[in-house]
Amino acid sequence: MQQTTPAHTQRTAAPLSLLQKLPLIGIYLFMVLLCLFCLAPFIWPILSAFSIKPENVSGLYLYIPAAWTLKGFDDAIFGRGQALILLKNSLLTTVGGVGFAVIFSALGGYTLSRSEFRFKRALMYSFLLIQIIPATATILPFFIIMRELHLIDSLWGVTIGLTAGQIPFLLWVMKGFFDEVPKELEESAAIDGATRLQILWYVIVPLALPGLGAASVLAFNSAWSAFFMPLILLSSPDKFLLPLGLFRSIIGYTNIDYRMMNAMSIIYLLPSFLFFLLARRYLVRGMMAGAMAGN
Amino acid sequence: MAKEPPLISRRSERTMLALFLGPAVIIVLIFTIMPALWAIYVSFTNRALTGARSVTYDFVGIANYVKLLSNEIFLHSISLTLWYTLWTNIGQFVLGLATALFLNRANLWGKTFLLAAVVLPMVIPAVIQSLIWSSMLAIGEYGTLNRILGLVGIAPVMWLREAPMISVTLVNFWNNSGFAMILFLAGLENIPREVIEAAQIDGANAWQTLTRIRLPLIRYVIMLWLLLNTLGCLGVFDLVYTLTRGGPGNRTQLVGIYIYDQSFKFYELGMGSAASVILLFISLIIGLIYVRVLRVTL
Amino acid sequence: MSHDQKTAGAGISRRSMLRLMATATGAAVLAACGKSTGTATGDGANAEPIELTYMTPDRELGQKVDKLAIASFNERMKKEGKPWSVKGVPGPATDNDYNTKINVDAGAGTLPDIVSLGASVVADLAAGGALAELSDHINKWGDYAHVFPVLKEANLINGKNYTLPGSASTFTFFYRKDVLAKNNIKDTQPNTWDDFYGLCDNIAKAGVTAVCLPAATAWGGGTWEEGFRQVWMSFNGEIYSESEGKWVVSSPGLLKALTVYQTLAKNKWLTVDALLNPNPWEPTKYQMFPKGELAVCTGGDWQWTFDWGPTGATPIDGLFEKVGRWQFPSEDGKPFVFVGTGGGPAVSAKTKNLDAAWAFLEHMARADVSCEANKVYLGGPSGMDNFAELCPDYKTQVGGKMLEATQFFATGKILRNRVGESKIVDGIGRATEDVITLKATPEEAMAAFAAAMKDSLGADKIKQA
Repeated sequence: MQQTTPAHTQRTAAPLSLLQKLPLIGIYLFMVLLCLFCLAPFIWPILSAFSIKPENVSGLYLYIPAAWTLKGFDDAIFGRGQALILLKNSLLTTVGGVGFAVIFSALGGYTLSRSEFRFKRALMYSFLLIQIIPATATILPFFIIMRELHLIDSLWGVTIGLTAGQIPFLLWVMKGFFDEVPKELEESAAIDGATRLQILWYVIVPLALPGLGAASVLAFNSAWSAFFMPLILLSSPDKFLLPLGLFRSIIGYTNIDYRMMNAMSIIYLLPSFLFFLLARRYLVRGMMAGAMAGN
Repeated sequence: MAKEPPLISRRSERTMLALFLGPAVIIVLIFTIMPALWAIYVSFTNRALTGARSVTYDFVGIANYVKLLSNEIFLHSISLTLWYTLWTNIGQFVLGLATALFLNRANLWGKTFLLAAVVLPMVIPAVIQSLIWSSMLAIGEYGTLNRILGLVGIAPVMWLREAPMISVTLVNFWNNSGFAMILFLAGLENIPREVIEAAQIDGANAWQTLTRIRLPLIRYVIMLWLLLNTLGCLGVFDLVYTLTRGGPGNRTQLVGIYIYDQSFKFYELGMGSAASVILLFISLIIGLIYVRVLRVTL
Repeated sequence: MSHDQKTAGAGISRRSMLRLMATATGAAVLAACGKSTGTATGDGANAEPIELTYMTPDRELGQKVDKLAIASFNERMKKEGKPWSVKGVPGPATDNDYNTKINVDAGAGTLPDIVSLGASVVADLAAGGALAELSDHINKWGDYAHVFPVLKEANLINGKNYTLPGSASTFTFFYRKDVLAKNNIKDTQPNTWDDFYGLCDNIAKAGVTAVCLPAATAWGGGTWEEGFRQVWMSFNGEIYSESEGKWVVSSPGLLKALTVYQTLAKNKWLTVDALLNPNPWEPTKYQMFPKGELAVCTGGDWQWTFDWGPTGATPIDGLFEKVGRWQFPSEDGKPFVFVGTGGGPAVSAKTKNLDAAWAFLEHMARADVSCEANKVYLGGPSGMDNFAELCPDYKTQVGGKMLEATQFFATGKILRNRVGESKIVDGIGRATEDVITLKATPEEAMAAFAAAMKDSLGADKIKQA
């Protein structure tokens, strides 16, 4: 029998001394500080959304509340905010936009991963790089194109705009993760008579899932926070998206109802956050049941 | 493999190319490329957004470019943007990677909480982010950050007056480290367990596993993130504008803000577009550098 | 990072169909981006119903007022048998975004029939041909005779009217009477800047921060509108030459104006730190002033309602007893008020029906409609000299302050919005910032300002005086 015991069993055998535990404590400490850093800025919005501010105090800064209240949420949902309609609009456009983008990018990413054609490199790089021209420089022609297509002030217009915005990023990520899936698997499936689409859906996608999941979450977040393009494109209030609805907290010039604004922000971040929680199963393989490579 | 007939015939390959890739390309072509090409065209004119020169304008060749490249303020914008991009990338890389590594380990407590905490800042709109940080970074004891520092006995700092670039970069760490974390985590999760275990059996310690095994295997993801994040930083606008409007003075006037000012404050569309194209060239160069240095083919 | 805001490009594959499509769309886009010539049809009422769109910023109180005006107009049109009606379209609430939307709409030819414009954008929109000229209608308007002369004059751009005259705001200093009284400081109107400095000195000695005069870049347009413009105007000398079409970028008057800021900053009478904060009005007008920690700030009539009124951002109890107004002191000892005007509702050059649009503008200006609107909120004085008779409530609303403000029209000064003003405003923001942070002397700041303006406006649009 061998005398050398494998390293990992050696480690778990003996209890760790304090010195050995130190890196672990350090890591935990770092993570705790990071959590604090990430969460500290939320003190103000949460405080502001649920409280009544005392007199003579600006609503923008931290204060000791005069009282607690749900009026902010009341205003946001049932009052001037009309948050439910905004939420519906945001959900329709974002889910639609990201949905289309994911489908088109999955198909396209697969093609980019598996085929070679002459201008492939140029196409991929230019897709990525031309995004750098900021929206402020391109909003006018974009608007005119939308006008020609009769998509001004329409949720479909916003959806298509969001789709176009997310495709380049998704294409890249999907191609990257598809690249990691070995071609042999495809070939054996093809020999068994599967069509390209079936191969894509049943073989490739499950194996690339962490990457696809990550990309979808990021795309959702990005589309969810779209502000400038919908601002210019939409003019009917019943079509506005949530970020635009934040404006409704503005009462006059500089007088802002921070309470309602923060209440609406909290409503706003819930779907994106929920989507993230739902999708995190696909992000972390350890949390996924039974979808390991090689099946 | 070479001797057998090709798996998919050439014709159906072409069809697949068209059908699968077609929709994505067409949509991007119409809604993003065409406007970008228009912007490039306008950069050679002196067209204004409103006013007399929005109706009758002239072709001015490279005059806008010359003006920009010899303009101190614009060059300053570029250097600020590069600084911002560099430090943002470093900071977000460290935070994102550290968190991803932490989450990648199977047996630590508090994973979901950490995941949620880091992702939460990404989920709120830029408008609110700026408002929150305006509240955090306010002067004197009004600002939340100063209050927190006061708890440990540090005097209040006028963040946005004395260290505006640092403040803005700090906010960006907060804002977008989740992006890095999610991508890196996906990449790390993709590494089969067996590879890590094999390395550990061979006697590799944690650091070696990290640098010799994990990082190289997620090179593609890192490269992708680096490229995407850099592009995002080069073109940043929302966050910085609402926090500082490019001030105090010109100290945080990054290129995105410069372009906005040119196009929408001064109505000079030609100048704004030219600045955008210059930004495009800079990104191209940086992209090429990345490909060279990291030696990752995409 | 928002991906949707980036635009992407693609290499063109060898698909000729794609290429053809691209060229076709491209041609269409470029053609559409060209000139937009508007034709405003002015024919009389015809049977076909016409619905006009009316855009205003999406601010709560403003929207309430608009709804009332629109409802009463639509009702009246039905009664009179005219096929005209108006639909309200809210635009972005913040000035920057609102103006952006207007400019994009104007550029694409989709400007709503009737738009509410701030004074600062009218000149450029008119020059770009986006607005319909209203001079004919205004000259035939019965109530035109009742508009205060200063507002009539300020509304003209090259002798033509593009907005409905009548909305105005008077800009002054606002100060805490009670804080001064408590510290035995006489609050007589300062006639010269030295008088003002004396007041500041006394206030500072009493341990109160003296004044918040908008400056620096963080305040955006407010630096110019609420502060610097008036300070510059308080000194003799040209600011803009109508005949030459040039802005003055270097003059003794400008230098003296910058020196005022330097004096205030050096003596620590000015709230310098707060001015460098984002949203600088928050710590100053909404925190220190209501608490009595700041004695003087600037602004216009809207503040009685929006900032410190009962429904305002930070209400002040006993507002009318505690807060008073001072006119701006001037070099020649004759204090003055600035009358901000020139904005208001305008009509798109491409409107469906100019007469219908005018009918709505005229309707909004009627005394009874205004009177109703004022019950929702009253944010500024009326531009009609007979309004108090037609609407008695006006005399006592907002403590009678709005009626009081109309006295200033007779002696108020104006400075019309001119093309290129946004660049001047930006330059002044930077110049004042350098001066109040003591980074530059007024001379240096002015030299830098002149150089920057030469660069951005062009050498042919600037002059020395």
